[in-house]
Amino acid sequence: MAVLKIKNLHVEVEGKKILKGVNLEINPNEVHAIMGPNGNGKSTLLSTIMGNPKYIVTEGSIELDGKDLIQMSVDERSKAGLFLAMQYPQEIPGVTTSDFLRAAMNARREKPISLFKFIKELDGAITELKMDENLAHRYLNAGFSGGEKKRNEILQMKLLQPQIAMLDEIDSGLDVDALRIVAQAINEMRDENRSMMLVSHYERMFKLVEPTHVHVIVNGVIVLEGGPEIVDKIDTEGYDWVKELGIELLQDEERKPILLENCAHAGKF
Amino acid sequence: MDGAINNVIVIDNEISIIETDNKIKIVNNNIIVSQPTSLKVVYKSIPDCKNLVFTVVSDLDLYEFYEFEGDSNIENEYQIEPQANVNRYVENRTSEKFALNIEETVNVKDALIRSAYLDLGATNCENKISYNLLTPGGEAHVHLGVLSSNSKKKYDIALNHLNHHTYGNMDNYGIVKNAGSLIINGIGKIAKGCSKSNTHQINKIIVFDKKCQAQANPYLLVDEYDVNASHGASVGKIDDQQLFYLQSRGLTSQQAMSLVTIGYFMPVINYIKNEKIKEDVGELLNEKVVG
Ligand SMILES: Nc1ncnc2c1ncn2[C@@H]1O[C@H](COP(=O)(O)OP(=O)(O)O)[C@@H](O)[C@H]1O
Ligand SMILES: [Mg+2]
Repeated sequence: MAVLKIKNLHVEVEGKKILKGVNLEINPNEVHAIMGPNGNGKSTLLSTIMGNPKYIVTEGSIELDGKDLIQMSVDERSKAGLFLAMQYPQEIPGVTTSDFLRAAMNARREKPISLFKFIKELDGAITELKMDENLAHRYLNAGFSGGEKKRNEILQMKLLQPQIAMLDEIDSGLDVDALRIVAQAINEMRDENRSMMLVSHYERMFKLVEPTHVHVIVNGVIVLEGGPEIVDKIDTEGYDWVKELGIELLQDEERKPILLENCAHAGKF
Repeated sequence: MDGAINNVIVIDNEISIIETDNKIKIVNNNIIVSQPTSLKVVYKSIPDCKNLVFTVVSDLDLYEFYEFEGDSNIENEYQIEPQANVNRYVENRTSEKFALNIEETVNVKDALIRSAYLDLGATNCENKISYNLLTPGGEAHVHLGVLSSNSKKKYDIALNHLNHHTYGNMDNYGIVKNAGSLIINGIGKIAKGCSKSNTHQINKIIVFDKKCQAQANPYLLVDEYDVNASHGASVGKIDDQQLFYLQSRGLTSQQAMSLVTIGYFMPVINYIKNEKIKEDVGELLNEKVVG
């Protein structure tokens, strides 16, 4: 049973204050939607929990089952049950997807997984996610389309079976069919011992995977939280109401969500 | 070709044929390949004025291994004749810190050559490798993977486009550790009148510690307008976001570094058709790069 407690979290990136006092508690069996306009700290929050070295915690605490997460290395966090499907998964040329996945699975086992069992699990997941049959032999994310990268993140989540799964804009770059496949895989992972944090801009994502809790992050703080009704509020009203709370809305110009699989590379140029 | 090795030559002061299918001929220092086959050449010591000329008239899988037993100079010439399709894998396996001076001239007519060089050897070296694309249709792909660990290595690799409609591509990758030094100069030259030619190069070096020295210099010398040329060069640390990605899946930082660096060299394996050599190289990479 993994309980994640975040208290008064302040985070800087390259000297810039991004998170300014976030409080959050995630319990098993909960699915938390993290919403908010681009550039307001959603990815920063998830990356900090996972331990990305770029993000510096300047104040506050993160605890996993009472243990200080900030003192743990990234791989220890992973082995403790955390998982982050990244908004921009890295490409690792020269390393085949299967070598990587086997190493990752073995990292959390006492005895290495047998080749037979590994192939069976991998093939099962590839079929279920309707991915390229040749995936195992391709270099990790290298030359993958945006949608393929996202599905590869879900594939890893399925194989690694984390206690707390954080999915950062897992729906961007997916067409409607792919989104349905991914949502189904996420729903299948839901169970009473596991929790999730989902970042997305889109109502359709949260219709497919219904959150138990919703938080809206603006300018590094949670400005609103509640149940799934907040998703509808944002879908109809956008974020303009935030200004009435006297909070400045940050707009990140560079990063726009990309919807269609075939324009998945557009964001890079 | 199925990857079997049909001819083996050892250069140990003299040229000895260990195995042959009679599809190659040796006349003085000239090795002539006239029918499709495969050939492995092992260099142990090179006598003065005994440099080799390879004349390749037919398809060839060529493997060359440096297992030198002292300081050595090589000045080899490769004549790749029209229509030949050559797949070449060169590996420096020399395990002691000898000095190597290697000069290679590869003359490519209307033929295709794909060459990979893997240098994990302990030697210091100064290598000059030139691919001369002599006639239209000439095509050369070069892939270098070099580790300089506590040694000094310098590679000049040139693609010289000497006719129109020629194609050259090189990917040069280096890793420097244990206070080693490495210079890679990638040279793409397109002479006047050699229109519709393509020359591309990437030079990339990863540096492990502060005591290392590294330079990756791309040179594009283009004397013709109607061409397609590109280059890129970088020297840097291993990418911390790549490491973060791998570690977030449970790999320790040591494991993550090893995977990324092996991955750096792994593409040379695609140039090897012989399964046994492929396997050996995979193991060697694990041992040398990780260990
Ligand atoms: N690696 C980084 N380097 C520099 N600035 C960053 C980095 N990551 C995020 N930022 C900045 O931090 C702010 C919050 O970004 P992020 O957490 O990615 O927002 P969101 O996920 O809500 O769109 C933005 O202003 C962004 O430009
Ligand atoms: Mg984000």
